Amino acid sequence: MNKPVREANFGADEAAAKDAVIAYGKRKGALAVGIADIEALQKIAPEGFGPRDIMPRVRSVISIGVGGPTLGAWGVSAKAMGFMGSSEGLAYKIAYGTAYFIEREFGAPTIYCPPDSDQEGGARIPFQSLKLHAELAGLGARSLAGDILLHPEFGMMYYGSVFTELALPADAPLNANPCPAPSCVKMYREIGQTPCMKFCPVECLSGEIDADGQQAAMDFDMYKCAEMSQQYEIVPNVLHSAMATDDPDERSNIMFGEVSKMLFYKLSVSSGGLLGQCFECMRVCPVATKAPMADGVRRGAERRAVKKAGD
Amino acid sequence: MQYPSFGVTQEMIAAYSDLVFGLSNNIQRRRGDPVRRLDYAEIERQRPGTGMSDIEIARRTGLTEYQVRYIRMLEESRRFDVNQYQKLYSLGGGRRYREERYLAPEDRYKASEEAMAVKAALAFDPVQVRDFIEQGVWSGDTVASWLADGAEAHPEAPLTIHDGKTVTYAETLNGARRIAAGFLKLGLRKGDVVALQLPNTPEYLLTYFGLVLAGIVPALMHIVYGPAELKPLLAHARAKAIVTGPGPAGDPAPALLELKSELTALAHVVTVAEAPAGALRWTDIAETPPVEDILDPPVAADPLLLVFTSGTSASPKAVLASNQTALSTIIAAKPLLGLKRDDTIMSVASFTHMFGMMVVHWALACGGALLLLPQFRPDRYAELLDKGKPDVLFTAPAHVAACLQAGLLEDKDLSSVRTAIFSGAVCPPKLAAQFEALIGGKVQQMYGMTEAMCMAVTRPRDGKRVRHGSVGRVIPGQELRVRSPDGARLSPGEEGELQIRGGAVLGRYLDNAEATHAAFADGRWFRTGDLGEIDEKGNVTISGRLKDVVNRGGIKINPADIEAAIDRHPAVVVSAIVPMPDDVLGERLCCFAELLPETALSLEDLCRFLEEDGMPKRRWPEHLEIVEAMPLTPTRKVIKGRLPDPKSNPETSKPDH
Repeated sequence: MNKPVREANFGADEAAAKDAVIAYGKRKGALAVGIADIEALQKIAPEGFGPRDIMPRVRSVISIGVGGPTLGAWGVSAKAMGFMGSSEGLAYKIAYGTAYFIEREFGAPTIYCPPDSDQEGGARIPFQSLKLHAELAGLGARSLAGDILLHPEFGMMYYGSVFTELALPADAPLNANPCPAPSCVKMYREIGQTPCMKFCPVECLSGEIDADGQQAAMDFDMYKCAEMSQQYEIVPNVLHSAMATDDPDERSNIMFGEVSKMLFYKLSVSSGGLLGQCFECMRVCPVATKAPMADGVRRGAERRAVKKAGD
Repeated sequence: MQYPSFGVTQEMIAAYSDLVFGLSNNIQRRRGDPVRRLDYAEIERQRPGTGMSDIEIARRTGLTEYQVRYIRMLEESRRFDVNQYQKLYSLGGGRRYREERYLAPEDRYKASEEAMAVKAALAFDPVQVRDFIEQGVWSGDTVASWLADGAEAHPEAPLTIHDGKTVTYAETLNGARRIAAGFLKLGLRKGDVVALQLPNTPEYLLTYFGLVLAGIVPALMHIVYGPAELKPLLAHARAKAIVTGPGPAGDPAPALLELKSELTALAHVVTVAEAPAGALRWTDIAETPPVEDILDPPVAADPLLLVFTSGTSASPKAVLASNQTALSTIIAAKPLLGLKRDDTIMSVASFTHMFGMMVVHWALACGGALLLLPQFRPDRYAELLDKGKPDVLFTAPAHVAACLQAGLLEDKDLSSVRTAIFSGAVCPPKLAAQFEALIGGKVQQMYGMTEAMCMAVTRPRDGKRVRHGSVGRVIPGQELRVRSPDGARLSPGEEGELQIRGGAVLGRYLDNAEATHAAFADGRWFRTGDLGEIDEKGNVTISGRLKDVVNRGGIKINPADIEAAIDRHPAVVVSAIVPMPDDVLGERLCCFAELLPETALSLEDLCRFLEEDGMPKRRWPEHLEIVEAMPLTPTRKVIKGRLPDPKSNPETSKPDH
């Protein structure tokens, strides 16, 4: 007997419900909130990774974007920056709250989309592509920097997703892609590389820009990129190396050296790898660092204005 | 679960790994912007490039989903480079990664096997290390940092003065950077050893500083050594190069080139002279563009220099000094020697000897200039003392004695000398007094040796009795004690073996466990082998060498004062008394003497002279050997081990007198 309720969208007006969800998200600190088209997602996501693969009755996918690091973060040492840009925690928190908000306000079953890895696929295969949700919700467009999404107003954002049985009007992807920025096109014309390509420590990026200054091709060695920020292999590698060596001193060194101790510390507090993130490509990206709302101070002012309007 | 459970064979892994890896999202190739444009046909067309799920790959390859997953993960583990993140660790705030600037830690810090083997000689007691660090005996300073600091603080001040030409601190640093670059370009790395055999010249100092800037360890080779003497030392030091030039026996470079095939580590022969085929020209190395940023600069605990003391050619005794050990006594003794900024310092000691290198380090420590005398010759020494106007003179007593004996100092103006520091051998008080009367200041004495560097010094405010008759008191950071041959504690004023413990004492002889074992008494006390006493005020008097003692029928005779008396004979240049085996008494006293030209000396004449000098008859030599040239160290001490066996000759022997 639930079916009529769902068809009636839990008694909610789709547009009004969307406004309420967006207002809630922004009040809680989101920079942008958008709705991805569920049917488009189902078509584009790789088989087994569509929203309906984890929530069969999902009717809307809400993408929530929060601001990236402070402007100062782009200027610190890479070692420090690796652990100071983790704003995705805020995105997940808002997504979690949004799920409860929808269930409380509209009575529609809702979930906070798990941002974690798919146990069967291995540590580097996510349950869902939050990036794809955000792209279809109009929160960013794929960049030459390994498809990291960029938004002309907000720069680089972290994303959280919410799946709900509440029907909400879908947004469209961005009309234009802010990547490459004019300065990047100029550099590409001169040396054949954009800043992100040039400064990548593992040279995982290459691509082409067409005569109109638009992306023609993006080549991304994701595995090399992962070596900088998703070091799931390191711990098993340490153990494997220790087991493989016949030299007891070498074994001790492998197990008790500073790298190993750091790794086991990281494991013990579940706080990631030796380098939380690399982001050298974003350090040199004019959109990520210079978009109007990439400025954390402006973001704060905006957020306070939204809160004040809500009050 | 094991792979056979999924039906995966090794052959399947070999055949499918690359394909599966490439179809997965590990490698992504996107053309245009189809997702943003919702161009579903294009998205589908590009899916194999943009990354497929395991299910999709399985369908495309004809494998099962689990087989795909297994092969993909195996390949991911195989390809993963766990050390990539290190590329970012050296980036400071706001710096960008550039491949050309990056050198992996394993390359940057890799030391050669030879370097590690040599470095093993820096073996110290952990309790001592803690104490030295906590008490500040060991500092974080390096010779390289002192040179750089000096060049920054007083760039235009002279560091070397030679033949009227000066080389400033800034010029020396720049020249040293070129030398460092030259040797690094040859493939040498921090910790590698380069033998250095040059006289006290600007080239020597530039080479020394260049090597230490790069953390390369100079092994000092006495200038008189020819290829045959160098060979075992180069092998022992694992020297990868030698910098040499014309010496007393000509340029050893051609002969050294022939030795390369026998010395596996020796890769380069560098000469300041015309380079024979196969050798490198020093000037070419010195003209290498200077290195601004040494990738792995030396630190205080790194080896600084390697110095050979004695031992046999089959078992050399080599002392490896670190920056910590070598500079500890420089810092501690600097104020005790009264060194001042801008002092002109003259060293007669060869820079291929630890004494000479200590003088170099003192000059750096006080910002002074080194007045160079390439090699000792009495007339040049006297001339430079007069014309060079040094403020401070480091010399051995024998240098002064030779000049005084030849009357070379009588018409010279030595008033510029504020401090004359005697070291390298026991100094007769009369000699110290005689020289002090000629200079404008005071004579001080220093007690040192390669294994422990500076141990004791007299202080400027000490009275003449102390300054002329002792080597002063132990310096901070070192401890001295006197022990009997059986190790018993001795009272002040009692003669025994001097033993030293402290921050400048060697860790162990390089690859010579036997010598190391023999050299240390309990509790890391190093046995100096010197006989001496310490008075109640701590002043140390050296009376001879333990191994020089002659055991004549159970009576032990220290020959030092007998030698000093014989050296006063007008015909004698220098003498040495050694034991001569004897069937009855075990040992008798044999005197070797080098005479002035056109003079003669018989045993009877010598004994008569000693009798007139008041020497007890039981201490007279019983055999006399005249030698053409006495084997001497750079500080003009007799190398008794190189004297020939005494010949039994009734003409020159008079047992029992």
